[in-house]
Amino acid sequence: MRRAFTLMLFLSLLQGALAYAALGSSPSDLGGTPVRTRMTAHSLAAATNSANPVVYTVSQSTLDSGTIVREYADANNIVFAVSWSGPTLPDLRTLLGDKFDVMTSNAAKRTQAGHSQLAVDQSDFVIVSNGHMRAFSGKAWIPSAVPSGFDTNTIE
Amino acid sequence: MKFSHWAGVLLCLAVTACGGGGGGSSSSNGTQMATATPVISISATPTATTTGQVITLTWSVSNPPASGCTASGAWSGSVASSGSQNVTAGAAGTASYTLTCGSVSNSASVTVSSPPPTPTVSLAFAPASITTAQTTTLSWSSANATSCTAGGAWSGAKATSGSVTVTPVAAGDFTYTLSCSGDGGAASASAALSVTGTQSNSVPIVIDNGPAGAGGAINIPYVSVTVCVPGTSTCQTIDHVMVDTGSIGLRLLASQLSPTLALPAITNASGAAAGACSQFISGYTWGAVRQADLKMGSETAANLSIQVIGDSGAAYASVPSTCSSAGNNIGTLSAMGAKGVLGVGLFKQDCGGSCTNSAISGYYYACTSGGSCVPATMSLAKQISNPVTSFATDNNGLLITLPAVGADGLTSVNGTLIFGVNTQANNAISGETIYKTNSGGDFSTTYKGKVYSASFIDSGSNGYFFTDSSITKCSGGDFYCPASTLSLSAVNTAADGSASGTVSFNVVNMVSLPSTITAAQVGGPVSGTSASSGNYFDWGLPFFYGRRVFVVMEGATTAGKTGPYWAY
Repeated sequence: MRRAFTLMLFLSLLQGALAYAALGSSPSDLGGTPVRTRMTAHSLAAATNSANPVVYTVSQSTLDSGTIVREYADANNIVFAVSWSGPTLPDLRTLLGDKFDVMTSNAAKRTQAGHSQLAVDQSDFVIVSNGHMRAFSGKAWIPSAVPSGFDTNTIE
Repeated sequence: MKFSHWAGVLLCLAVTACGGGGGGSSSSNGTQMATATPVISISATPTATTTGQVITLTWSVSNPPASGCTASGAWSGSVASSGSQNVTAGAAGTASYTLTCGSVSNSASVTVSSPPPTPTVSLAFAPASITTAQTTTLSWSSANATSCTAGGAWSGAKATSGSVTVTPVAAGDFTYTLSCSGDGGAASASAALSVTGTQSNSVPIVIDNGPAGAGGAINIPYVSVTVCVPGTSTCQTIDHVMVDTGSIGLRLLASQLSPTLALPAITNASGAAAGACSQFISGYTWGAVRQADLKMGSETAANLSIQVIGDSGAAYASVPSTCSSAGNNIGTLSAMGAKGVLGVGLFKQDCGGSCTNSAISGYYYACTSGGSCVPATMSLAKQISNPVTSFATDNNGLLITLPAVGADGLTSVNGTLIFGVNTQANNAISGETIYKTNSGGDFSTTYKGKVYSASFIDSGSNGYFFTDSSITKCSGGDFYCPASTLSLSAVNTAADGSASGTVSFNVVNMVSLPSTITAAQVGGPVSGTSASSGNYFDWGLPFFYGRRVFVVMEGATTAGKTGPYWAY
């Protein structure tokens, strides 16, 4: 049920300096030499007009630790959403770009909450980060940058 | 001992004694020839003393009568016409030593005073018989003493009264002595302490307002840990360390460690000082990897790699950007609400095999003495490890028991952290259901028709954290504030589908709890938005209330199944 869109998988072992695309900004380098799987998705979500599909690109990287990082970029190659899942956190400063500071400033206000959840829900930035040592997952997006017709529940 | 005393004085002959005034009556026998009048000389040394002390009397008699001389007063008997004799000073007062020779008498007087009182001392243990997991109090008191000195199993100068808490370092029988002295002499006493080894595989858990300076806490389970310089009895016990089933390894704030507790630094394969980062959802902690012997109950984890958060060593002075990229620094007393974290989750190391193969950001670092750190690999043996799996015994898991907490909450809660699963009578799985997890430690929870596949049990989460947009959130959005207590239920299913069961739970209004409440059935959302519900149900500390919850480590097999698994 999660894959409410078709995937065309292009496995490409890219050898050059592969860059992460930081959320909401131009590409930047996360470091390391992740193996990447590039996916291009055309949304076929039922609620949207199938004659006018949402076009975006999902780039998937697997970090050395095994954590999978996905980035969702629009037609202009601007990343509007990211997600991660695996035993370690990705470099959120790189992945979130200038939204990293939004995350940390909001987290600092949550002094009473526990250590296993973090959520920010603002008009220009949403992040859900959860899990625990050995199993982290999360996703973040910029609502204003999400392509029309894209369902954020499909971020995985 | 010092006595002031006076030099002996030769008491001379009283006029009556010397003058022969009695001569006229010296003889009633007119037929005898008149004889010379005796002259008596007697002295006492000293002339002032205290009861019980020796007095030397010296005398001589000129012209002694044939009938001899007789002692009287404070002494008695017939004595020779000259000599000396030691006598013992009697009761306080003036002692008169009289010598009578014929019709002549003479005396020596000694002033006798009461002696300074003899010191007394008492020393006792309460209790006098303990296990290595316990402490006892040694109390002492003394009278008429001005100073005391310890001996035997303890040493040094001591006050003339007091008490100390004695923490045994080993089993055995120990004798503590105390000698006290004063003007009246010295006295000593001893007390015996019997320390028996124990198979104590448990330590108490307390849920209270947290350590001073942390700003208060709710639903944080604390234990005390004792860390020692490896192989020595140089140890420190640190209270208010959070028990966290959601992480791995012992992490202690450097600010809470004594400067004299010199824990050796761990180096990585290249010989560089090993720095450690740990990632939490809410941020990171950064510090040194150091080695300690950890003691809890009778369990010891020898040469355990731990993280010293905020270590003052120059090599760890700068936080690498790839560590701080996890968020905020939560390596503070106020951010953690604890002096440290005792991570006793389902795994043996915080990182595991990945870090032996690759230099993974956010775990281990090689640091130069100048404080430049880069990600580095770390062998399993040196990684920050689960203290439980590092124990010599009872190392396959643990059991946490906490009492039930009602809707009103409690101001303090006492529970037990028991090491081992099915290793002793107190940690047997009996009637609890086993929930296997996946490789990340997660199982599945179904709540209101939705499946959350990455659910987990976490004593380090201070509430139930789950998604339910129908529940009113408190101001700030971190917790739920339902108008009245909610009775809810969910179904947990083992990751391999081998078991499932319904969990009933309550959620109370967080804000309406009195500020003195430290344990309550509170919950909160995982997300600030209804647009995303996350993929997990976090069964935080309230889940433990009224339950026996077992953690069985990865690779450990007991009760017919191999961990990682939960049983409750």
